[in-house]
Amino acid sequence: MRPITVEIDGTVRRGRVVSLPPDVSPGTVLEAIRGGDTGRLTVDCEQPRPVHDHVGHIHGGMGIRTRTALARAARSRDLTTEYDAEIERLDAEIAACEAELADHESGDCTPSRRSLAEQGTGTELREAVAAARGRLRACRDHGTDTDDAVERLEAAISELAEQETSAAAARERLAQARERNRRRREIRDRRLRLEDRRANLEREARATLVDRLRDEFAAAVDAVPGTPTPAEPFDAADLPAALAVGHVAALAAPVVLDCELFDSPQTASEWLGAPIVNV
Amino acid sequence: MLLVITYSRAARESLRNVCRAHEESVRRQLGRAALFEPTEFGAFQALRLRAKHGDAVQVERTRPFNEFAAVPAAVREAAAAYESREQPAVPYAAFAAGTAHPSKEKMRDAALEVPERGGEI
Repeated sequence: MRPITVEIDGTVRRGRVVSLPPDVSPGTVLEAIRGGDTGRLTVDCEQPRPVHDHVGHIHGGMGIRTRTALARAARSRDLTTEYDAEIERLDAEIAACEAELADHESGDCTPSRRSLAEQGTGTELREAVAAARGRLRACRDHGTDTDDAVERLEAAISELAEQETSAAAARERLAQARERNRRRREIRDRRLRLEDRRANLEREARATLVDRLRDEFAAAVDAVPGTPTPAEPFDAADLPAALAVGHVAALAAPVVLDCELFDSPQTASEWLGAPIVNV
Repeated sequence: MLLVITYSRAARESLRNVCRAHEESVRRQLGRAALFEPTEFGAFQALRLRAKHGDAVQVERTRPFNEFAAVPAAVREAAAAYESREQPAVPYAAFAAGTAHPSKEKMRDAALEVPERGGEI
């Protein structure tokens, strides 16, 4: 087990167990372990693996999805399943879909939809043209001056023509945007099918991994100090379950620990097989 | 009604949540799609989904299908005649050959009349 180096406010502490002042929050330590920039704290340690998300901070009020955590513990030990190759292949196909989606610009239909809705159907303008035509005819029938009526009719016709042109253009833009979206949705459809298949295989793989570690996990739950042994190991309370998962996992990154079940942080570190940051 | 189709796992999950929480505005849920009531609240739910998931959510407006208004008599008659044919194994092309029934190609190329309304295409 590689010791860790913690630098806090300019002070360096090194070892398998490092205790920190009470004003440092566990969240800050976790962030530093995961490589985040916390300002006052840096932790030099191994990169945490996914199981660390579940058992990286062990404390009395914690929650844990035991089966998921145990499957990740198995992965931390490089256990594999018969589903892994297919999952990897699906991942590659899903990534190819993502790349294809990125190549297909999405069609934003919203502006064309808005402009069509605002333009209406042109009925009013058509009525205005008919009315202007009627007025012109009336002028002619009564032999009065038609200049004004002609001018109005021309204006109405040109307004209608303008509206029709712009509506046709908006309809065309909308049709093109919809066509682009249709192509994107075909890709998305394919991706969704792949993702569903991947999720199924992931579930199978997880069940297989959990099965493989079931006995070890049960023994670990049994051996957690200071807690009763449940009849069914997966019914164990969150804290002992987390400790048992940590025991079974190959942890390299330090665990942030806030629990009283062990005689000393050193014992806890040995039990978990990981460096400990005591908070 | 409003037809809402989802195209991602996240969008499908949101649609299921909406369907669970607002049964009264959902006419029918079909896997990753659903038919919402044509009310402002149905539209509100559809727009929420689209705002959240972008083009992974498709919203279309359906209208009742009246075959007597939208479909030529020859097509309706062909459908009825083909479904009451005596030899089940006959493909439509063979069934229609030499009769007055329209060919598959002719029907495929003929779009149904769509009333133009508010920019729907």
